[in-house]
Amino acid sequence: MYYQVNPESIIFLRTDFVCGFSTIAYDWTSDDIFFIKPTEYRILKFISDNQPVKIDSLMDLLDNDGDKQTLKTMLKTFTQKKILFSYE
Amino acid sequence: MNNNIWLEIKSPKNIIAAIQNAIFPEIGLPHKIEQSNEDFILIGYFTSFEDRFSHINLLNEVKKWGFKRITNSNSLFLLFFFDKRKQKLQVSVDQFLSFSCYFSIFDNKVVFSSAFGPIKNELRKAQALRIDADFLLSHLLWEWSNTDHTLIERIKMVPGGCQATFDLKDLRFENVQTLMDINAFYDSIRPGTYTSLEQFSTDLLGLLTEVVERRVSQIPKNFKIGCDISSGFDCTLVSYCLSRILPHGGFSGFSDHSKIMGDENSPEVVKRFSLKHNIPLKQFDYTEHTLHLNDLDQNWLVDQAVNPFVYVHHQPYINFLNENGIRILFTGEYGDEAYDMKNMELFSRFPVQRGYFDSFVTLKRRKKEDFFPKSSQTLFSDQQRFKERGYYPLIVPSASASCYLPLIEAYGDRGINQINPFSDTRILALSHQAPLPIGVEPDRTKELIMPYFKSIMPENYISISNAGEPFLQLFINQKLFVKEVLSKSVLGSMGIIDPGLITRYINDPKSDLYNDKTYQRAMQLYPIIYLDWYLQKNNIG
Repeated sequence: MYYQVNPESIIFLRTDFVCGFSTIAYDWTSDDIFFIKPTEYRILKFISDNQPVKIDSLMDLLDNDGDKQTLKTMLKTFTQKKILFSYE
Repeated sequence: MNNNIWLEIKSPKNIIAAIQNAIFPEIGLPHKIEQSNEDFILIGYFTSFEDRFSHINLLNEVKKWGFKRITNSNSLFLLFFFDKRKQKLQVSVDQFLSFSCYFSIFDNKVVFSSAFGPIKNELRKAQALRIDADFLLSHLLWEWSNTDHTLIERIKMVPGGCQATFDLKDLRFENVQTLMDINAFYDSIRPGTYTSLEQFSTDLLGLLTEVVERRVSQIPKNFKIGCDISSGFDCTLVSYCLSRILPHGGFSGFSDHSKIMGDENSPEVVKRFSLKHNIPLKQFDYTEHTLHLNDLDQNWLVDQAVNPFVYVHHQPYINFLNENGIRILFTGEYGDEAYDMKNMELFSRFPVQRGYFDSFVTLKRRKKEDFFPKSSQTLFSDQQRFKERGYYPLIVPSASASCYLPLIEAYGDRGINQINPFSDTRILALSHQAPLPIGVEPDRTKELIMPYFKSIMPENYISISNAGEPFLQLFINQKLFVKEVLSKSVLGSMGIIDPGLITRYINDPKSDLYNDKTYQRAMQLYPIIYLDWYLQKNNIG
């Protein structure tokens, strides 16, 4: 599975450090704005900088199984909210 | 009489002369300040509504702490701080953006003005005026941000809650930086302790009364006070507070109404409210203006605030207030935002991202695509213009603060200063504690607390059923004017709009411009027309 960010849902700024590398994203399925934690920011930024990104490359960023499971959940949620696009 | 400020500095050696020649009129509130010692000069306006700050010893405060502490307080100010030894100038505007402070460097001088028109005219004598693309594109999409940009590239402004620094040795702008401590505000909010909306409402009224009283106590005796009154909630509540604080005749209520604006402002409800609380009332019918019946080309003055919406909706009322000698006007502005503060935190912290999403939502939801060629749609959604913006967060919603700026200028142009008690951060913090039923959105707070104010406002209501109608009236009653603007379109020559397509659309009586009861189409086209007209009239390209 490959992932890329939806540029209409998230924007990365040079000033993101001011808020500790957190940001907000737009959920096009519900028209809600929601908070992106620094851990999620790191993943989304990695995808944005290297897209399209294969899921294996994302898994390689993490050491333990718990984190990998959290990542899978995150990818699923963000894909549902159309913050990420995915394809085989 | 106007409140416009003008300061022109040609050399670090003539700061004293520059200050002597500067224009800093007495505006009543905030107080005019001029303090100096051997090394520093502080000039401008300052009033705090908190006990910890006083305008008496302000120079010491600024010398020791800079503008940081006063920025993160309930103080209104525009201050110029000269460091004579270092030949530096720092300029700061409060977090409520209660002043506009434009500046430009040209012809070996740095010029500051609180009004856009005069500085634009002065710059035009020296050079051709060029458009600032980010500002233009944002305004076409109704996106208002707390920014250092203006419609003209070479004219900048000090954003709210920020400090701009200038090196006077080389007459050079160094930087602009935010002084806002957003975390401190949100950390200061106590966890919700209210168990009933009734108790919350009682405390809200108590706090609002205190906040209004603090403002009243600072107004010079000879300044005539007015207060907006409507059949809505916010300004009417402020006027009730004033009626409890000031003796009869200490202020007057002012109310404008239009027959096409639905039932937002019922003159009869306003009359009965004023009688009940013994408030002298003056009412003003501006139906003619909302119908756009005047010859706009003659009446939209190019030196007034950029947005002619101000002319249609506010200028006649501003003139009416001026004829009645009003210098300080209390308003209910920020009322809606205050009740909705629980939804504002993310926007306070991430203003640029919000502007970006707002633009996309506008492009998609308002179906603007067909008015804009493909090339300009790319410009609108280009991430780069957002990435280049500075980080200038505000606690009060940036969109509201920036949106009100043309109003501040228009009122200031007639020597009237607006006071907005609902923007006080103590009110904003309290609104966070409203005990809303589970699942109820914060933007319904006002509606839920209104029953507890029935004894004060027995008949008032929120409805604003027809607020978009005046936008449509422009295209009905000023068709020739609109077509004239489109025939000479600057935006068209820049490839941002397709004037031919828009003209055909306006000519078609079956188009959704005339049939959409939400007025979204008229609201999309309105800024296109007024910005294009403004660019043409001022030869900005």
